[in-house]
Amino acid sequence: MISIPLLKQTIKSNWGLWLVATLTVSLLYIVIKFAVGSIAVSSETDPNILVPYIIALETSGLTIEGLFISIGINPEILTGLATMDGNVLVSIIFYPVVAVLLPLVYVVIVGNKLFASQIDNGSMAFILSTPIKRSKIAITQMVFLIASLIAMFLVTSVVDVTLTLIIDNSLAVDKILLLNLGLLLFSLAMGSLTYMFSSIFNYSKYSLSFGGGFALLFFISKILGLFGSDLFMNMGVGIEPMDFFNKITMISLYNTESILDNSTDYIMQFIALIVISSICYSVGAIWLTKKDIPV
Amino acid sequence: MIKVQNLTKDFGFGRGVFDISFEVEKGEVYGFLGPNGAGKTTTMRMLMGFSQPDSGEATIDGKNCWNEYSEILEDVGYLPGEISLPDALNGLEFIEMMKNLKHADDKRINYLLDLFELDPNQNTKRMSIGDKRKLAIVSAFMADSKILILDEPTSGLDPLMQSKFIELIKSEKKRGKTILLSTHIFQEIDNSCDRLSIIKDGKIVTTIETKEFRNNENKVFQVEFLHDEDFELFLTSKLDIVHSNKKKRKIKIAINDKEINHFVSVVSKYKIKYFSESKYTLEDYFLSYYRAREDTQ
Repeated sequence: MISIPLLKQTIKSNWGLWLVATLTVSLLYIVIKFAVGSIAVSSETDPNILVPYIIALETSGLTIEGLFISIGINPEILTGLATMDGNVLVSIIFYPVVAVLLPLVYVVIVGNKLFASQIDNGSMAFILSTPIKRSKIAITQMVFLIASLIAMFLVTSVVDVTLTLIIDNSLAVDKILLLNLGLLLFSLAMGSLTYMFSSIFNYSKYSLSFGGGFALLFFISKILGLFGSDLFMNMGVGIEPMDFFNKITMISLYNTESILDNSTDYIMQFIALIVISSICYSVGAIWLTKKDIPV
Repeated sequence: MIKVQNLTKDFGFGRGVFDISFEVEKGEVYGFLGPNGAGKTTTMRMLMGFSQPDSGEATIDGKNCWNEYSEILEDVGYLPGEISLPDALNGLEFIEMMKNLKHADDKRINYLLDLFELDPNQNTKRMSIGDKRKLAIVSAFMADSKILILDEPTSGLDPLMQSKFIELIKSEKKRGKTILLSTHIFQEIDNSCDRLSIIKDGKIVTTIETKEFRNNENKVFQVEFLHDEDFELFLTSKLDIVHSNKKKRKIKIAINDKEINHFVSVVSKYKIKYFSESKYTLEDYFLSYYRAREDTQ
């Protein structure tokens, strides 16, 4: 099903970037876990400081809700703020906005190198001139992309879980694993897009424009979409129309809120990511077997 | 062995190949001669199964080049016209990869490396064009394939290596290989091909046997006279004068080998500055063909 000599070449050509991406994601986990760990320690507030405020409010007959209404803020956010866990908040934002970045860069660059850049510079001619079937080439490159992403997430998940156990135990290990699984599924789906574009286009410039373009669109939309998210709305800093951006970014299918608040929305979204991956990997592989390759 | 029938691939803007047909017999060296952009590479890409013809058919050993490429390529060695080696591999790793993909053996590879005096253990990015070409040649010949498709095989090689390459082609021919090679260099074809097709603007303009040129009995001689009188007088002789230049007192005469004695005896009666044979080569044929075609257009 796969060609070992070709796989070796692909590994040699991409292992450096894999290592950089894997180490950087691990490093980000280390930084964030230390940061979150320190929040947990420093957020012990002294209840005595609150006492005079409470007495003042009681004697005046005013309420905090009244205060909020008088300055034009929906008092419902108080419940949101009261029940909010800083650690969870960090995780909800960190994984789909920060941790996602390196795998995105990885799949954009590697995806392009799998076919388009080799067709563009003509080096694919040597592989095509051997009896190896195009379908085998397509599958070998697909297997590399998928396996390298799985390997990346095995490493980073181990780092993440280890750090969680040692430094910051605010999240359960099963949640950490789900967060990492989601990141893997999203990265695989994003990889399937870059794989497909790499197969469709004969020029690096087009393959990179589409692969990188979608990655950038999804990434920026995710950040803009944060302002329209329930999370920000509940904190009182949301801008509802910006929820539009959550509808156009595939990162929304990596629903960290759902994973962490015990709802089950994320399961269907995981399945959606798998379906997208299956379609794009298939289209890419079939396309390669049918097209003219100008090398 | 290699059969191309009414093959058409239209890229638009007049580029591509149009309705070309030719056949390469088993054990034959067949040349594809034409200027850059004439369609040589396009044809070879279709033979290799890289691209699909718009119409017509290319077959090797009776198998369709587009549908059955993986079976065909078991027996084909290919040398691309533009050499771009895979990144991240050095020369040795490249050979190793190609060896495994083509099931070649070390003995043959070492023979080829020695022949072209190539040290593959170097970074391909720092290799000279000639060394890259040699590496590609080694890869094309390493599996000892029955059929060789070579796109401008000697470009980038120095003259010594070019002649070594031509020797290799000749010895492979003796070993029964079927070879299709394209070039815009005449010597390559002159020395090694049995037959050749001249291709221009995507069409085959003529196909010729090169031995007709090697054993050509008709020669052209050029004579330059010292005096105008001799020049004028010679013009009245009954020899077959193909060209004369009064200013330079030069005359070109076509002579069959059988009449050479007669020619010498005639020439000896005049005071001449020099006389020389100008060999009618394939190149003359090629260029005359092209110029004639251009004139008619």
